[in-house]
Amino acid sequence: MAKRPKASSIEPAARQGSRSAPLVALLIVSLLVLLVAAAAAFVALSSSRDGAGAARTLIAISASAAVVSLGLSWVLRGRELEAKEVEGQSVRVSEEELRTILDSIADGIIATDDAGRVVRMNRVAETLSGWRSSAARGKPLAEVLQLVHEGSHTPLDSPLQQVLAKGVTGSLAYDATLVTRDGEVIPIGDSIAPIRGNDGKIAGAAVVFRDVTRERDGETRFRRVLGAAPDAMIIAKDDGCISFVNAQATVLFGYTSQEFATLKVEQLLPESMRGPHAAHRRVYHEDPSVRPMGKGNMPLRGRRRDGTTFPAAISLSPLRTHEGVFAIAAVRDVSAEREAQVELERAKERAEAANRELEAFSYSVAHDLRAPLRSIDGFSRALLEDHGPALPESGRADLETVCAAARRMGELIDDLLALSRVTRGEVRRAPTDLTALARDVASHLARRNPDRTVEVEIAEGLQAQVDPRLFRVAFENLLGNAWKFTRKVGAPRIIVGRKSEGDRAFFVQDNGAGFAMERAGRLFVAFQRLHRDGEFEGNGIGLATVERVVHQHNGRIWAEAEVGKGATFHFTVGEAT
Amino acid sequence: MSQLPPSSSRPHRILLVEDNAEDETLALRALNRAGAPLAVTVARDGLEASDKLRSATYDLMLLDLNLPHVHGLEVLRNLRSDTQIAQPPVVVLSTSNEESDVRSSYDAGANSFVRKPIDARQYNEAILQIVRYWLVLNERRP
Repeated sequence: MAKRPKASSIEPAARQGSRSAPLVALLIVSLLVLLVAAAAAFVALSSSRDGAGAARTLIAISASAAVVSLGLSWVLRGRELEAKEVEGQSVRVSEEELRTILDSIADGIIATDDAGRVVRMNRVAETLSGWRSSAARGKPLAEVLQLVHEGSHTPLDSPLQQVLAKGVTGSLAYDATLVTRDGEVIPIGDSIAPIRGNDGKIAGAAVVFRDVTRERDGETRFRRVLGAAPDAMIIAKDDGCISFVNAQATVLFGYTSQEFATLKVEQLLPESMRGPHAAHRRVYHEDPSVRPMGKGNMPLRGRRRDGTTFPAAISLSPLRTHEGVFAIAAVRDVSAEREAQVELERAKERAEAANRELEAFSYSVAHDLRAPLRSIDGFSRALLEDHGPALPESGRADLETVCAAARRMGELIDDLLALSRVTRGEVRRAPTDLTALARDVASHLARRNPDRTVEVEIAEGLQAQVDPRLFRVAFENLLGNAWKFTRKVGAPRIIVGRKSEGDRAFFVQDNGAGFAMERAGRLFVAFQRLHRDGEFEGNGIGLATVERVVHQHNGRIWAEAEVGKGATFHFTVGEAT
Repeated sequence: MSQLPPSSSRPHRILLVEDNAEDETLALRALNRAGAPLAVTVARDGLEASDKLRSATYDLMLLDLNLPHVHGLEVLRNLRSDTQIAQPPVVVLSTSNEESDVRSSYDAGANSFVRKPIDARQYNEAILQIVRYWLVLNERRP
């Protein structure tokens, strides 16, 4: 921003003007007003780094234009005097004074006659346009001030004709640029005010313009940021008038930027929401902060130009400027999310239906498969009891095999049912004494296998927030395995403990058969067995069940083992979700 | 094998409600080892069971849940809500051990719930123990 002229630079003019005191006094007053206005513009522009500052710039330039036009009208009147008066000395001095004043102003100033032809230019206008005043004089303003849109470079209509015809003040679009005589393009802000003669008729126009490269840069950056935002961005003032939208907003709502400028934000809402919104807007501007729009689960909707509506997520943030607080609304069409949510709910329903089906299936598995097994075992047993003496030894052995096979299949069915129960059951966590639980499971094992002596050491005070029903299943499997795989060991020993005090990582360790670590990856897969059928009984479902229990508690399970030295199963208990 | 005490005046009367012929045979084989005279009446579905309960009194009822026509639980509820009928202890014999089945059986008024084991020896033992338990308890009642 160029420095404003200091008072000292106009002193010579003021002294010279002493012979035409009234005119000079008026010019000085005009200049002072102009300085004040220019200073206001300077303050506004240098302190505001946002788009709203541009509006203030235009206001300041408009004020300058009005004052300059007032001053110029006196000059034109002076010309008339010059024609009539023989002693026109005072007017010529005033002309010089005026030139000094105009040239000391940092804005470009061009005066036109009532036909829009250039009458005079100040120095800044010459510099900016690249035209010498002498060369420009008499040329139409549009030729000297070639204005184009910043982005498209299409010619801009100057409001000059309107100003001359109607006597109103006009200004350019915010994205105006000036093409200089050398073809250089400079972003400018400008304002045009009518100049009236003594008779009150419009004698011409004063065009005030300035290089707004720096302001435009800041503003361009701001607009680029908003333009790059994935959401539709709408900036509105506290009265609801829309002052800026990005390209996404035009796509989302179907209005052009120009149409948006005539709208209030309420018009972007379905009719039913407009009334309440105006009230909400007032509340927001009393306490502006960054927050999502709408309360709780109230679904917000946006309304497009064609009247259709869409579910919207809207977040608001305040934009404080010298012109007051604006609200920046980021609007997103959440139709896809909503649809995904609906789809998710449908999928959940389908999954639940499938679960119920699975439950019914499990139930019938329990009934329909177990009943014939009972008959196979029961009648084989009956045959042995009633006709055993009549059968050869090998026949009796075959029947025993039939019975054993039926029992194994029964266990398999039971384990599968347990696995499915673990999977579909709800996890109900409660403070659980794992020490007591492990002891209970171990004593059951001891009673079921009275022929074996296993040393079981269970640490005191193992506590966890888990579903006790599920962890009983887990311990039945882990301790059952440890029990099973220590069968061939001289001094079988099982330890249940915790890695360190207060830790939620537990372990079950045995000194049994162990396994090769390279096969550990298959441990937790259902029906995967690491030992041959004849070695250790089992169906390979137990550890899959344990893993599911641990996973349902957001925990992790892993094993360490060595062939012939035993295995340790570690598991953690995670936080409830 | 535990032995049943001989009834003082008459054989213990048992109503076995079972639709599956094989299960019925196995249950009868088990009861035959009771070592005391038992009069076992068999009903093959829920309707028949209700009829038999109305026409005679029993010392114990062994009830399968999965019955045609009228479900075992329904038979049990009807029995418990009918004040005109003498109320025997009821032992539910079920293939399933689903928690829901256990709970609803007790809620309907069952006295015991036994899951039928696949192993015939375990099955015999289970039936004998539970039958003995209820019949002895009956004997001691005034």
